[in-house]
Amino acid sequence: MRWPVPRRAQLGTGALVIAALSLGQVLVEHLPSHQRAGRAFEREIAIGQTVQLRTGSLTVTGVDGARSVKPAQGDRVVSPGLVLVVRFDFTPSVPETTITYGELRDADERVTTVSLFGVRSVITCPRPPVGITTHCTALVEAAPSALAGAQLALGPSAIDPRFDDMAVADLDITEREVKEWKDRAEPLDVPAPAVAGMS
Amino acid sequence: MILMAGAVVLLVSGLFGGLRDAPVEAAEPLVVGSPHEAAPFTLTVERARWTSDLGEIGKTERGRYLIVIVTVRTDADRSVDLSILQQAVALQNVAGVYKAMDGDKIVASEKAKPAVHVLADGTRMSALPPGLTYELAYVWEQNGSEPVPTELSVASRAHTWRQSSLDDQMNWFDETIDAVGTVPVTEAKATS
Amino acid sequence: MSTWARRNRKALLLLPVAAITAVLASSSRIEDYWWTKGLHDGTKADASGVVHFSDAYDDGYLTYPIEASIALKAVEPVTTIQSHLGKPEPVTAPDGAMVWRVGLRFEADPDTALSGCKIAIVDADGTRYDAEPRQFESRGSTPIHTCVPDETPGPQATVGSTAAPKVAEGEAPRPPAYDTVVYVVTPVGVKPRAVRVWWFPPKYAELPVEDAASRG
Repeated sequence: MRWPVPRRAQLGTGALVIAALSLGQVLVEHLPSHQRAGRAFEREIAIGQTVQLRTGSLTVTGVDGARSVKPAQGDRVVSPGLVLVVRFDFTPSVPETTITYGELRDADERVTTVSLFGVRSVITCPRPPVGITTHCTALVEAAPSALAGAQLALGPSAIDPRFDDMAVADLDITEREVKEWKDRAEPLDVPAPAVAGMS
Repeated sequence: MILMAGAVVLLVSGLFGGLRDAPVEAAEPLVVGSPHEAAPFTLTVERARWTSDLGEIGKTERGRYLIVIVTVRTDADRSVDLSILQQAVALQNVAGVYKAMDGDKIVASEKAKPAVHVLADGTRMSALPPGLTYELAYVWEQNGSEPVPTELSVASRAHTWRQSSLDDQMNWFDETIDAVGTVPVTEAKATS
Repeated sequence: MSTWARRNRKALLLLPVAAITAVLASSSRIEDYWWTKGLHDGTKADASGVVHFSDAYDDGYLTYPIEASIALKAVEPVTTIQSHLGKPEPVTAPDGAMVWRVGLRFEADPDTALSGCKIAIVDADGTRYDAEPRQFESRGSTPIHTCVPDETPGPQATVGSTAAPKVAEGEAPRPPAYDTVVYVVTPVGVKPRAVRVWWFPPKYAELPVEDAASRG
């Protein structure tokens, strides 16, 4: 059987197709991987610093902790580790937005996630009108061993944190503070979060 | 030919139902008081109690609560969701167990979802943070028409960390019973 | 021009068209994640400031039209709201916020279901301030509905049912023309440029705030 001899034009087309496929392979190898490409934009801040996220501006205003906390509206929580209380302010610039998701990243790179639901670790952030500030709290239970140097990431999208940008705050926790918090005998009172000026 | 063989295999495995949750032939013994690794947890079954009055957690008129106290810890890199924690401990072959505390359906006890509370303060457990050891109370509700049990057959389930076939996210899946043991049950002493 | 280019000029001319078509054909995410998630399809007002708005509800099982002529009657800041008894009650707004009263006039067929709309004030920068419940406190009387009268809301669809919207038992039909009032909270100093009314994104009605006297 005689193999058909390809014409010059056919060879050229074949070469172009192979070149396109190879270029595609090279591109796929050098573009960021699916996981990396899909991660949220993270903006790093220190305590007291304000960051502009796509959805609004966020400022972490204070960090405290204790073995036991008593939220204003809720049950007393006693922890085998520590409960961190992080207070922050949020001013949305887009309607229907508030902070609903958080991630505590400790010094050993372990992650504890927090959302609006939960009794022990929970974010409480009442939704204010656009342009108005609300005071929020994030309660996070964590092991004290790696709390010094921990960061808290906060974002508006709990459904999928990759959908939006997040503020990552360096909580500036020292070993001395961790020891102080562990030694607290009384439960720490946590005031109820509210929109500024409302009860 | 290959198609035929494939079809036969499918038929045969389909006939015998899914593979999920079948007790593994070589399941280890779950010993009370002895730590057991069931990924992502290290858990120790401490004791079991029954009562119809759990104070703030609840009181039941239709039977009693079965409570298994378990010490649990995870050393995973991320906090573990409550649903995985709920699946980690199951009651085996206990009759008359309600599927959930706020429902009326009675199911095989392995399918019931226990409430999980922290013993120290009675609060409902949230996700389990890495590196902390908790004393947890797993609570099931049993219908009063069943006699008071003197011992419970308790099983632990291990999970695998893998990518979801639905949305590419990594999580703990494929819970399978990996150890079974018995724990004696006594009536809980009245709490003040 | 080289002979190769001349021989292939038709294909070369069509190449950019093919590239653009390919990009458009694979842009379904733009619709799902952006177009239907925000207000992108506005209906402008006519010369007299009235928007003749037309939209539809369609979930694959139940379809009904949403059609009304909407006009903006007033946008004014308020510090008191009248109670049921006619007494002006003070308004408590968050720090740095003010409360606006937006008055709208609707003309629509009484058989059209119009409840369940949303309203927002838009300022000169394009920032949208949505009217939401419980954003301020007052003992004054605030309406329940935003686009239909409280006593005669007209046909309403039943949640979870595929039955057409109907008027509740014993309720009078909605009048063919009526006014509504809604309260919106914005930061102090906002200058409203327009009021938007919508039921389902991306379609919305854009009502310009022309009258300088009704701005804060």
